[in-house]
Amino acid sequence: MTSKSLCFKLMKEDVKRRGWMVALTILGIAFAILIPVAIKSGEFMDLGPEISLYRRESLRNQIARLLTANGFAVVVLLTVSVLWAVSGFQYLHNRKKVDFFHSIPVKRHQLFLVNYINGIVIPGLIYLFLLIPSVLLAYRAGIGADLIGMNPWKAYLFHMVYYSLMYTTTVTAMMMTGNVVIALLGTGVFCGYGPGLIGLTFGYLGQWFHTFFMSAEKERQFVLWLFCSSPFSSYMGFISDFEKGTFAVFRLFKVFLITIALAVACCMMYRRRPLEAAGKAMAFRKTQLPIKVLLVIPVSVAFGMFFYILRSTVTWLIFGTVCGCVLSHCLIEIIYHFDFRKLFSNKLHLAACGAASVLLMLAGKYDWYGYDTWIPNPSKVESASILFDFYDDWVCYGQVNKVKSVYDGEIRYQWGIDSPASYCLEQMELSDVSPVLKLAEEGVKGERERRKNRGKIDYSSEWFTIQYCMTNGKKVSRCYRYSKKEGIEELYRQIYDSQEYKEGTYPILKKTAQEIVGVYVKDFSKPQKVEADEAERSLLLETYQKEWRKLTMEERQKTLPIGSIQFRSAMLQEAYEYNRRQERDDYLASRDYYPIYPSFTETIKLLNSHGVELKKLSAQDLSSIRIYYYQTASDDEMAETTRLYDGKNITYKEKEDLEKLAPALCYREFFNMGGGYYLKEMYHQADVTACIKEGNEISGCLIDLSKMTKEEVEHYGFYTARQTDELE
Amino acid sequence: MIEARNLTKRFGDIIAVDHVNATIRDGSVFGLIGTNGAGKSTFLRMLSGILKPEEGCVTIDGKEIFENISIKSRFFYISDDQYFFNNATPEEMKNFYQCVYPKFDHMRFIHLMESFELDRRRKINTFSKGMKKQVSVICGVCAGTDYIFCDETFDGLDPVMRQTVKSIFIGDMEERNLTPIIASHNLRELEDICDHVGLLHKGGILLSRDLEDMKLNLHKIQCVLPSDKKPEDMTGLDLVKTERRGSLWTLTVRGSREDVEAAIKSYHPIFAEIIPLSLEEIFISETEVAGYDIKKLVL
Repeated sequence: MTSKSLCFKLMKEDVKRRGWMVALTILGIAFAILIPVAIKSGEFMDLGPEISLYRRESLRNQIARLLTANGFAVVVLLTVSVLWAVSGFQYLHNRKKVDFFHSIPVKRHQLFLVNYINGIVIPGLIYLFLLIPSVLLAYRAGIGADLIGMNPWKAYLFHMVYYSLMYTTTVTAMMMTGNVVIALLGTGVFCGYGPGLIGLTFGYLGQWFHTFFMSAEKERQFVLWLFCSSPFSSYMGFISDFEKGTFAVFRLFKVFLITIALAVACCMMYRRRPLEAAGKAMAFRKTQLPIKVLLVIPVSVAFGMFFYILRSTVTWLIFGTVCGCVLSHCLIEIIYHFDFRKLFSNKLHLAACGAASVLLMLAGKYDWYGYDTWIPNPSKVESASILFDFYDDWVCYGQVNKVKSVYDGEIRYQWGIDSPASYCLEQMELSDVSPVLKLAEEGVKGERERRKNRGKIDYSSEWFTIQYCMTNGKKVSRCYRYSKKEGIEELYRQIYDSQEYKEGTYPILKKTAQEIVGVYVKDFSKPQKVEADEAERSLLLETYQKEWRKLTMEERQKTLPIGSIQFRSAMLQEAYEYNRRQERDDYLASRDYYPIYPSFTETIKLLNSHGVELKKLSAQDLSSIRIYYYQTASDDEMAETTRLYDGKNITYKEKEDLEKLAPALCYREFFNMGGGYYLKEMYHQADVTACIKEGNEISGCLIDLSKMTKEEVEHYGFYTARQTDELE
Repeated sequence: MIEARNLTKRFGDIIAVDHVNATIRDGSVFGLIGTNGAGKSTFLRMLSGILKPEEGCVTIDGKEIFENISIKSRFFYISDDQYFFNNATPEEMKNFYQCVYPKFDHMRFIHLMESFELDRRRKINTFSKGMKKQVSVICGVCAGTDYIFCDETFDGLDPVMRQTVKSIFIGDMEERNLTPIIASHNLRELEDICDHVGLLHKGGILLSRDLEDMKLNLHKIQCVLPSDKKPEDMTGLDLVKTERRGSLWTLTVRGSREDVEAAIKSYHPIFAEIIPLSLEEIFISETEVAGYDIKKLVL
């Protein structure tokens, strides 16, 4: 008998034996795809003409989704992949069955192939045979090719590739163990270990590497590792990308190759597997120690960190670590021996794992790596970039993107947000690194103090990040807490006033005239378009950029903007027009405005020449000013709590009041654009609403206390938390 | 011919089979005897290519068994607790065996199932232990292999079935030179069928002999000696064991029947008779010589 025909005969016999798995797979996939599609298609066909377009579209999309990234189908496929693998190779975990299968005249690799291939081909055929009528039902209901197209077949392809990966992963666990429960635990470890370890690594970095900066690049890397670290997370990542309209063929091919490699490894393990391992926890003795170490140390570290979060002392840190080590080591030993009394066998391993874990924790706790105290040698730093996370949080990084939905083909515009860090740290090149290094030294001092007094002192929640571009091309970043010490503000000012800082912080300075199609200006009223041709827009941009470059920190601290300006890109304009046509709320057009300071005389002059005046609210424009006063607790209570009580509204309508209050009114958007941090101590933070005679209301205003006398401040009951004493 | 040379298998710290050497001739019945844990099943599992020996080798006609399909198709292994597929009927098991044993005799299977009064379409899991054993023996015999390895197969069969199975084996030995290798912890089960026996103890083989040789060279004599004579005085006899009940002596002696008869006559006994030795008695005598107490080794 040829081995080929024998294989087919054995496959047929295997299918006969596993008829229950075939039935279960048919049921699962039918209930996940065919039946829901039939129900939804019927519902769609029954929709009357009076039913809204939205409802129709929603149903169409639901049907399209059922045929592609169907969550229930994913759960069914994952479940059946595990069940097919377990049912196919569970005979290896039973001596009686092993004797039966391995005494017959069939080569081991043939036995492996028969079971392995059946576990993929049969569910694959069932899925395909149920998908075809599902697609036909969708077509019959009128869900056209425009919506469905090749997507169900693409989805079939990637679902089957990931099914094979998950199935092969479970088969690997079956090969490495001698007991079904342990194999299922092993599958869980294969699926969860990678993401868990990556999470723990980042947790460790976050816990002990206080100056570690999680850049967007590192975040991307983190997500990438997460999606590569386990079959399950990779599957979820692929589905997520598919839903966004990406069908990564190369990635799928890589997954396919990994599956093949894993299957080959499984076949080799099958051949080498000692058959007496049936019924034992682990099939290969040599794998026991590495698996134990790989599990015990991370668990110990996680326990240690958990206890340190609860109580920040070394005692609890070590207790947690040792506790995690003992618990996990004992549990693994019990599983390995299937005997509770063996929990303390291999004491040497337990001691070694415990010592390694404690060492890891102490190295982190006391920064034996020297990570947080590292300051580069100035001669080795080519340039540096710095990001103050508390400055200019209004600046928009990124741009408008046009996205086409994979389900309904509908166009959507969205702001592709870049993080300030990814922009500033990459774009900025400060050639004078000495103030940056001095700031870093201050940061290190603060860090040392913080390590000494963990949990005893409140620290600022404001941070600044430094990225060094080293002479060898390497980029190294550190993140420090801001501490407002004498002399430090001067360093900030020094950095801020440099052209390189501004070039690397404000994207407006990199804009070119070719990119912009319109200019819009806002004061306290609605935005108004500046009627200008291309050359005029170009001049306006150049002038604004010149004046923005000249702006100093001192000026930003002392004055507020009087308006804001937007140099609108073609894509933003397209989004604005599209949203207006679709009667959608347009939040995009209100972004990317930059402040106009009183010192921007040339810009203001150019705007005036195009008929744009930046108005300031006066008493004549106002019908009333409504101020909401927060009721604070009494002084005694304030000592214990900063709780604010419900306050009261007072509306000022008298001309005298309006004339006193109007000059001090500040529009909150401009206040924020002014780099709110510096100025907030000069303003009353109450909720002020200016009611304009025409009927509009401008809410969220502030009161500039510097424009009022001490008596007026007292009369109106204004205060700032920090400067009440100063005013008095 | 099956040959095991230096065959060794360890399970962790336990040596299950320790440097065993054995030769099993074709066309004879080889009995493998030993207590529980003596290594009989391990030896048979290595013979069946299920377990890979750690040391030594086991061959059939000089060819290694492990992962050798042409060799594996020449034997059928019946384990001490034979596996049948879940909810399978004898008919379904036959279908499976037909796939892997090309010489499987379908007609004989039907005939034997009827002879044993077993329903081919009844689920095996509803069968008694003995009936399951019968199904596995029928499958094994019908597989048409040169060898059949039976691990405690006769345990659980009633005396009639045991004899029926033995007669089937004998018939197949005559017809197609079948070689059954039967492992058992019960000597009495093998007594009337084995040509050659091997005694396994603690993984090692204590002895391996042809039963006829053993029977020809060991004799039990019951005799009444003259009052002035004792067995110790009979120097011409190679005495293995002596027992006395009143004036009746039971002697176990080594040597050919003719020599023993001649020697005993020379001492002029009042009464002397050579009576047959049971396999158990042969083993007791042989192993006691080797310093073992057979009663502790086998039932």
